[in-house]
Amino acid sequence: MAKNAVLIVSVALSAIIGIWSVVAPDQVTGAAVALTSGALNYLDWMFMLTCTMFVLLSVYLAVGPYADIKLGHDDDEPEFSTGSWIAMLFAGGMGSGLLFWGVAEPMYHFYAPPGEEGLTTQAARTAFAITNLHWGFHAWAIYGGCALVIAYFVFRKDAPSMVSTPIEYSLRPLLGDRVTRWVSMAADVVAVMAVVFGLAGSLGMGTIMVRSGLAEVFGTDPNSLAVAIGILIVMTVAFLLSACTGVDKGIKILSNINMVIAIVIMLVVLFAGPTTFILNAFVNSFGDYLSQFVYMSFRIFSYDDSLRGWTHGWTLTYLIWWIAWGPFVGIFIARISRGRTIREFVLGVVVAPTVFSMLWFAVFGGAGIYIEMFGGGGLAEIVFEDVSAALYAFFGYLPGTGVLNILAVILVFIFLVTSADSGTFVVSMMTTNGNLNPDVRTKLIWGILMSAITFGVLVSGSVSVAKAMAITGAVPFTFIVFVQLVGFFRALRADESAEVRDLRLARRMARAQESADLKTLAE
Amino acid sequence: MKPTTGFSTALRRPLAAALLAVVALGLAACEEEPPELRVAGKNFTENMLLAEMLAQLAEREGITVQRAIPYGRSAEVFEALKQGRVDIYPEYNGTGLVYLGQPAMADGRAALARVRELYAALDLTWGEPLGFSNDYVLVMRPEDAQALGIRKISDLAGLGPLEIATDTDFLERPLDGLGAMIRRYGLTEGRVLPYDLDDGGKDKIVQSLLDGEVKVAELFRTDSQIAAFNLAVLEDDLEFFPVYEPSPLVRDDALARFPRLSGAMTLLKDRVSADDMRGLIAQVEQEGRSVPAVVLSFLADTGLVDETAGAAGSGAETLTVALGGLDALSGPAGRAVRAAKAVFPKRSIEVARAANPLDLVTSGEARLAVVGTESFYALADGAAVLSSPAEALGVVGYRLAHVMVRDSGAVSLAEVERLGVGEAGSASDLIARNVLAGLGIGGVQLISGESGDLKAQVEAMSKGLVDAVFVMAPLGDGAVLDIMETGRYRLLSVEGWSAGSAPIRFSFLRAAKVPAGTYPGQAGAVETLGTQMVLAGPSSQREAFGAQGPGTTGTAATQPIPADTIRKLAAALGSTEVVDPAAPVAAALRPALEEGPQPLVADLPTSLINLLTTAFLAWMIYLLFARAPKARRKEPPADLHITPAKSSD
Repeated sequence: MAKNAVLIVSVALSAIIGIWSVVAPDQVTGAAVALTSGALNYLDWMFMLTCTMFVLLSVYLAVGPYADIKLGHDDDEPEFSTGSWIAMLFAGGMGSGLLFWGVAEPMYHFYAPPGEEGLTTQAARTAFAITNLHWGFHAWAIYGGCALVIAYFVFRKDAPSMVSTPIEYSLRPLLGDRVTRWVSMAADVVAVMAVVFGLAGSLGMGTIMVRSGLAEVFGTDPNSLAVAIGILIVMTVAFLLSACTGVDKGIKILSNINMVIAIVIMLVVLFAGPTTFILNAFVNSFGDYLSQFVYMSFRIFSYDDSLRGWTHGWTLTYLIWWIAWGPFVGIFIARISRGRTIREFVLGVVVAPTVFSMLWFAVFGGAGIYIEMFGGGGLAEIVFEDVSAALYAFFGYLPGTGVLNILAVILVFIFLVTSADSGTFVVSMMTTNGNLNPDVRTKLIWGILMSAITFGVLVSGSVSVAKAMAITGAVPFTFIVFVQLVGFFRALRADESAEVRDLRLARRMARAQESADLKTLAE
Repeated sequence: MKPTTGFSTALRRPLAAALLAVVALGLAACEEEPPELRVAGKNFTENMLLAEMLAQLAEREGITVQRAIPYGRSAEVFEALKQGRVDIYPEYNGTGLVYLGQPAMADGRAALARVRELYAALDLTWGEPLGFSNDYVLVMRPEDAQALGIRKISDLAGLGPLEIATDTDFLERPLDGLGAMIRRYGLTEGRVLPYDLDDGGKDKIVQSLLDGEVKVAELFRTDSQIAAFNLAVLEDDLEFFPVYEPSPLVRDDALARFPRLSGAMTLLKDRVSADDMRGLIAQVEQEGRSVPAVVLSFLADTGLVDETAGAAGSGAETLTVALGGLDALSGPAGRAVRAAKAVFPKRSIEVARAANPLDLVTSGEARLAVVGTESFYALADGAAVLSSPAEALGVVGYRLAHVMVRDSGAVSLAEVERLGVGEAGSASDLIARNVLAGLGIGGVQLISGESGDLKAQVEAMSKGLVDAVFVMAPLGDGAVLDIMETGRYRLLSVEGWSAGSAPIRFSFLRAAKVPAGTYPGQAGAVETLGTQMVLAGPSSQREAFGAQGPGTTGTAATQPIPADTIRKLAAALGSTEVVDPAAPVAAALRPALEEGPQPLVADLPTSLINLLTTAFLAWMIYLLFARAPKARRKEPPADLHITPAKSSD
């Protein structure tokens, strides 16, 4: 019954908002923007604090008493190899964003760092520190947190893979049945809608990026609607095929291909570009990021109104963007993490991707900044004009431009396919009562529905609607995450304390035994 | 042993050897001269173009090129070449002689033979001449030259102390510079206005001449301004200035390092004529295209390189500036193009034309557009409504409505039945509609066409197809001037604008007068209307999450121009006026407001939202630590769809 309610309400709401946004795109954008920018204006302190809290929680979980708890039964083994696991994390979590912002983001901050003079050596250091703040520990700790609260219940408690599960499981006795039902329902509906619209938005944007790539490589019309729709159709077919094969084949294979292509491109830029400079920048930015971590994690520029706008536009927009993706990426990451301990989980989901993205930005951003500082320059203006074209312009500075361009187009395309694929997968799970392997029919229905919404977005030209919607889900979901986390920690305390006590006791006894043995030996 | 292991050991040994070889090669390379060819250029357009040609041809031969274009003044580049800090640059044989204190020579081939002989001792080689000569010339305004009767440099002696605008390089040169010239011709030195070529010097030299600050200016024979402003070139009657034919001047060790370099240099022998060079310089200085882009298309036209060979990454990425069909580059629109060139030095500026240039900005086809303030408005219900998602970045100039009629034609706008307005959707078309709506004149048929060609419209008027031609143009616009010079047309006044509500409904249109005598045969001032011409770019205001950050980007097409760049553009336009308040102006140009003391007490929504959020957080903390009531735990409700965990005991 509860499941039907979630399905009905979310489909009805999606339909209403979907139609409304095709009929009156400006109105919808206005409403979505009002909500988001209002929330940022009123509650910037709360969002900043929430995101940093995720980082602190990750540290606690990785080193605290619950670090050895397994996400699964005690005898479960990891379902995917560590390599595939991390490849899938990347494909699901950041996708093509990394590719396009790799050059662009450090360039933006190098030109106009907040409260500093641009284009200086100091600005270059600041640029990397800020970029790492936006794409580093915070992002992955948010994903990790959203995933962990699900994975724990799903694999250790055999509960359904739903956003509402932690609430149902731990808070029902406290809240009472009626409140629990309403809160769970709201959580599930918000999650489904966030995924549907977030995905439609990013598919729309992604299609446009592939289109500008095709224009760059094959000289097609960069503004043609027909080309965009063609891309969408090919992509739909591709991701439906992939979706039908299940997560252990389609997504896994595509993610691994993606990771290989991404690493190849990165190595080409690293070793064909200014290698020493890039590696120096990597080491240097590592230190800058770590040493400024605490300072930047709480920085809102509260004493300067114009810089507060900078914090909203950049740091908080990024951070709540990650929260908006939380229900989607969280459930997806949870799905692929069975059999890992919490410590392993945190290291794999938070630390490894962060180090990789730091390297990534050092390579792409470093090469870009090298062009500005020591090369001919002129790249920054192109970045500011069109981020997606900037990537291709950047490849123009490197040997093998044509091959790199083609690889990039393929990469973006596969990223889109995997995003769409994992998105349909997640929505199907959420609307089939948390089934870990939802049936093909449901996946097809959601897949086609999502393509249809993307089609609407492209035809009505209201990509800004999609973009606004994609991030709006973050505001309600932030509050839901809090409830989830409370449920999670209550469950840990109630159900795992005994186990943690047992573990400790066993260790102490082993030590005692050891010293007793030693004593015996001494005698 | 498994077979695979044997295979991999067999593979490993040559691999290691290859690696060692690569490392050894790399180390060996480090000890030698730099692996790239360092091409330098002097700090003026012509020399930069020649240097870029050498660079691109060398690249075609597979040589890695490091560019230092521009490097600096003549003497600096020559010094850098002697010291081995650059390998090659284009030099003029006349200058080459002067460096070594040799007398000037008028015969180019003899001069080249002489410098070749002399420079061999310095281990420097003169390549083949490129095909033209670029001498120093003295120029005057044509009307001055005529009035004062000056044709040759000797005539300047009669002028009194010589007041002259020159580039700083010319002042330094001991044998063929200003001082030497004054001594040779027996002139007296007066006020000298020196301009640094690094800093747009040529334009400033010409500007001070045109402004009448000086009577004489020094330029190069290939400078595009000579033709553009029809300047009078004084004859060098004593043959003081030597011939200056450019050739590549290259270090011998560079020729040894790059065996294919001399072949690449010879390709250009006699391929560049003076006319070619004037055309190329005009493309850079007047149209704002980048040096690499201009050179690439020139070399492709002459068949020396393949155009598709890749302009990418060489700084040839284009930046499009949209202009209206009638905007001449010699007018204010050209100023906008040159401002874009100055602010985006690494981009190649391309000019696109459209009826309404603003459309190209909103569609993302152009980055900048020169428009009248009316472009930001749409005509609805007889009033203009601000509608465009673009904003003004700086003032370019002012356009006035010119209503041209035949001498025998209508005497007031109300009498006109068919009004020619040029291209449909153009500024002239839009303003004509607004003016007629504002003045309440009905029954006028507007005739627009595919193109805005003014000559065709005037022809249509002389055939009687239209009664009057309505055109928005800057005061004294060349095309209008040409038509008025025929003496068969006059300007019609646009009167009665401020009588009704028009100034409120069409707030961007302002009453103005065309001063008497602006056009030939114009006896009195003509009342008319005008709009400000502004440089427009994509707005930074539409987007969702403030004016910056990832929320503003990612949808391709129209990303806002950074605030700093906007300020630079406004400064480069050099207008003291600010943007008309009728146009949406970029946030970067708005004056910063002093806000005064702020109230301590927060407004109600702020208080309420923060109160609720804080309460929510407090509730979460309570939930985290609250004790669950025991009784409920025992019987889970029927609709709990999860399996309770086994207790851990």
